[in-house]
Amino acid sequence: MQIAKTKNVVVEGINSFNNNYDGIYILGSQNVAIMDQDSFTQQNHMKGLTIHTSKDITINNLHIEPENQQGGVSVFQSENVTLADCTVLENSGIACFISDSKDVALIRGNYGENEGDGLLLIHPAISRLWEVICDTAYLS
Amino acid sequence: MRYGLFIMNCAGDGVRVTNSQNICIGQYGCGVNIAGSGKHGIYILGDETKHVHVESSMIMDSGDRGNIEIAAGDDIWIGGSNANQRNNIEFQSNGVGVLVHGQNTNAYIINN
Repeated sequence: MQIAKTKNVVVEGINSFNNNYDGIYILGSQNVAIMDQDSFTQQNHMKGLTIHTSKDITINNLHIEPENQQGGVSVFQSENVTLADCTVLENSGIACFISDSKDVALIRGNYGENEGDGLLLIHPAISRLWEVICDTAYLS
Repeated sequence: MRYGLFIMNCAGDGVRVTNSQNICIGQYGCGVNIAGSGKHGIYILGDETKHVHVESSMIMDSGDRGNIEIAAGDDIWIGGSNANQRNNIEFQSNGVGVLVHGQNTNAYIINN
């Protein structure tokens, strides 16, 4: 599934699996919410979820597992992104990769049994436009 | 019982922070649980890294690189002055609990 260059989108109840690219790809969009306890993105050939150049993105209760071939989640050049109560399990590559983004919050969730790093934050020196703020793990 | 964010049994580092700023790993007494990482539990590196806080978290059973390694960065805090900012960094037979190095590294390891 791809959400591209749009705004004000709500997705409930999706199972995106065995795609040649990402399970869910959010590009150049604003105010997107994915929420449902039964949503999955699994066994995709690239990432489970990619958020690129987007703003005000909320992901709740999304299960990014298993076997997404290039990792679970990637967030690039985005702002105000929240992943809450997600599971990112048993993927190839990095569980969650955050680069050149601002105000990214990971709240609760399980990022386990992945073949790469659990959480990788990178702010390349080549781009100083963004800062990464990762507020993790509020108890509930 | 612990709640919150769990990063368990990942083959690489549990959390790797590279050239990043204003990173809070655990906050307001709510921590991150990192265990069974293949390399580091937490690995902080990069000369551009600054303002990284690790608090209220549990880091244990990391691989042979140790639980926490700070290779570079400015204003790196592990723990804090308040009781609820204390981390639980379990001793292990491989690697070290907390390793700090680097010529210009500015780190505070407090009250863990």
